[in-house]
Amino acid sequence: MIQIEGLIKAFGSTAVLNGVDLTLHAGELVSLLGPSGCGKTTLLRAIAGFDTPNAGDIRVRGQTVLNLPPHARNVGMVFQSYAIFPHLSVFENVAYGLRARAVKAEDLTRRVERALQRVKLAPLSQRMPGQLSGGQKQRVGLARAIVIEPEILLMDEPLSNLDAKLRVEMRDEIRMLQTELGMTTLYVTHDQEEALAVSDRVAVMQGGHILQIAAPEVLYDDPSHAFVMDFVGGCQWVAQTDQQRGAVRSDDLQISTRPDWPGWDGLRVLHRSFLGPRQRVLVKGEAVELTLDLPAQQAVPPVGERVSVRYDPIRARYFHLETGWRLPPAV
Amino acid sequence: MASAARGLSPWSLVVGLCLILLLGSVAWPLAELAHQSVIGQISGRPGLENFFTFFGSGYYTRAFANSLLVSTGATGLALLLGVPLALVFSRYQFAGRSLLRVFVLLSMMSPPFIGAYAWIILFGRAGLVTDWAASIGLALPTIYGPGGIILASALSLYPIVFLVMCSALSRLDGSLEEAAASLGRRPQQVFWEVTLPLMRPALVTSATLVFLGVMADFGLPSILGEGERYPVLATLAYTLYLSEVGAEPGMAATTSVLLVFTALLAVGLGQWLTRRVQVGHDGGRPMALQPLRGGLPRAGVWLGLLTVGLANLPLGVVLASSLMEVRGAMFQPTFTLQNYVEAWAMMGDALSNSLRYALAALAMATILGALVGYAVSRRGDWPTKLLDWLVMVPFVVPGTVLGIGYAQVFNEPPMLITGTSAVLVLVLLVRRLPYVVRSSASIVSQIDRSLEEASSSLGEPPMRGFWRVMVPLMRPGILAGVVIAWIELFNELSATIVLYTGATRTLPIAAFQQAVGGDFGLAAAYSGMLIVVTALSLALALWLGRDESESLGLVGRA
Repeated sequence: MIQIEGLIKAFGSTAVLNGVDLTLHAGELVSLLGPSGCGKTTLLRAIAGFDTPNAGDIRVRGQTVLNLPPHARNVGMVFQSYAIFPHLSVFENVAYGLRARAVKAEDLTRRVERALQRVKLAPLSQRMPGQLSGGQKQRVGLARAIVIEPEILLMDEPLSNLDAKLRVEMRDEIRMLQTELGMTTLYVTHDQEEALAVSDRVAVMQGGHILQIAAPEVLYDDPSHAFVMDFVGGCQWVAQTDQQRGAVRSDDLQISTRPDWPGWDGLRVLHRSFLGPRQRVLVKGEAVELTLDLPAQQAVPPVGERVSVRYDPIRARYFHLETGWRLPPAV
Repeated sequence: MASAARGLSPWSLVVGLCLILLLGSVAWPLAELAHQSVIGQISGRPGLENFFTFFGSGYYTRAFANSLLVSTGATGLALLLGVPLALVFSRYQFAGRSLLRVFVLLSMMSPPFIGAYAWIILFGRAGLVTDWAASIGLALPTIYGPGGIILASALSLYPIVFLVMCSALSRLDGSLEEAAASLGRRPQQVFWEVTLPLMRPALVTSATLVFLGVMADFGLPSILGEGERYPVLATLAYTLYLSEVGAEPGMAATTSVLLVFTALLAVGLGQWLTRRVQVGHDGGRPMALQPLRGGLPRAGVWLGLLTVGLANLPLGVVLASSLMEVRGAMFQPTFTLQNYVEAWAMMGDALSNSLRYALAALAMATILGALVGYAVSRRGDWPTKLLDWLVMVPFVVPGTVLGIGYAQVFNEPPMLITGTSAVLVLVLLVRRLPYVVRSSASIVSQIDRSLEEASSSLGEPPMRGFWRVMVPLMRPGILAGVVIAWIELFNELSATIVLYTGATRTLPIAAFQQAVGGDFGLAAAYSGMLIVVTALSLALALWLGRDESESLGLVGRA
């Protein structure tokens, strides 16, 4: 179990972490989700020991690790840039941490080979990194991190340098491997879909705070803050008063003629984009512009046509205008 | 790295020790010179007396003006020779292109004074060409004095311009010129409006380097300026310090201070000229080589061939004349090894001294250079910044000045090492350390920091991680610096000439002494040995480095 308490970190006069609390239970995968500059990578690097926090504590199995240098912390780290040692073969890259621990030759070979099998790289063990693709490099990085059986696996945007298709494949593999090994993992990403897909729990960060930490479904259906609502899943702001504003998901909006639901008349279709199974429709009125997420099959009036848009009031969530925190539904 | 290192990290220790070494071997001698420059040579009182003497004397001010004239002139000429050469080399494919590069590098190999000596063999008072021209009734302009110094300096330093410009051109984003062309500009306009402005930092850098090189050079102007006939600051400082008739250390210190001040002004001017230019690189596509077409590029190639030919002429002349029989000051058209036999017999320890001192300095420069290069590239604390600055000082300070400073501070207990080999090794080390530091720092800055973080997260402590990860990756960069350092160490003259004694004479000193006032045959033979050893060691380095591929694929974090 990893406990983070009241972690504060500033670079010069810029505060990056503003008192972060987070507990990771053994074997779970928690992702840190947020825009760039929200402090997620700093939090990760503080756990790894690369950045020293100004205040707060990080405990592994109840013991603080703040006084330990990075090489004594037993964390496995997977880097965005892969950080594969270019002068070492795949085998030697994975063996690096074991050699640092003076593991005996026989044991070392066995463990490296098993790690390479787990990431499906066993046939390439004698290749040099220059001969590997980006996806293969990241598998090496993963094998290298898990082979030392770390207390915690830290992954810093591990997929963001890969192309879209590979990214989806790799994230499923990472998740399956992590579940199989039962490895406590902290996963940093700015991609909300990736966070929802791989995590047991997602922590949404903004401005050095964790706004909400919850299972992916909860986060999506029951966001506790306007920022979470906006950042995770398509969000359309549909109502605003002096104190509060309300939003629905893009797929809650319907091109409709139902008069009993709240909504707008006299909008025009501005643009339509086809996305395969779904389509996005942009509509514009005098004071409002909305994006609808509709099934591709649904017939939509052509661009320029007048439409009205409605939503089921049950689906709307309301947030405090200033603080952004969730409010009970308006009656 | 904002590392979580607790207590005294091993890197703090490295930085601290190097700082102590450089404070003692750079800051102290120079501070002593500055101090002596403000103690009156005649009155012995503190004040600006020496500077008044300097600027009140026609002889001294002439040396100052001469220095400025030849440095500026040679810088201009080196740019005129080097820039077109770099442009045609980087842009066009033509027969003999790669050979051209080899010959440019070859002309860098021997110290400038050997070039000067070769020009005298050809165009000196009893020179081969001079005599031949006289025999058909032609009087050639003299090679002695400013014209000769400018020509010979430019021909020995234009490779700096070539190398700096080529490296800048290779990093130039080709799509910028394509963008200009697609916006409707003709090739000539693109060159003047896009390419040249982007080359400005490289132009200024190479001009500064050449200027500093000429300003600091001692051997070439003493040969072509014939000592006191056409004095420049570097030769003046030397004569003032070591003159047989009444040395004037105070005035030597004053001259040294003015030399350093002028060099600093040049560096400052260079930085001011490039203060707002930020040329980004990488990301773009380098330019593809075009077939040679059009009159201007062709002319550029011919100019380049002429330059390279002229610049390599001294090498050939020295090697050829070293194998010729000498009678009086005349080379005879008979080939013989006699010069080498005599030179070998009279050489004493010169060759072995040169090799031993240079190797000792090289070994230390390699280790310290790699460590300091890493530290200055990765650490931002003030001791490291101070260290970075101190390391670079000898780059700007002429060797003669540093030599005089050493002679001043290391001649009394507890640091009585003047006249020993230790002082020579130390001055060699300090003078060439910047090469290894810069080339190491530059490759470190290209290595992704997360490689080191990966190493430490995998459980390696900092120093062992450095050894297992950084050293192998830094090797090509370290080697590049070491090769240049070696050439310069082995051929060093301007600092060692001040500090040597009979027992610690080196090969360049032997060659220089014979060239200025001795036996032409011996001078040619000693110079020949310098050239041969340098060439052999370069060949060895190239052979050793043949596997150092750039294909390591270092991932740089933007």
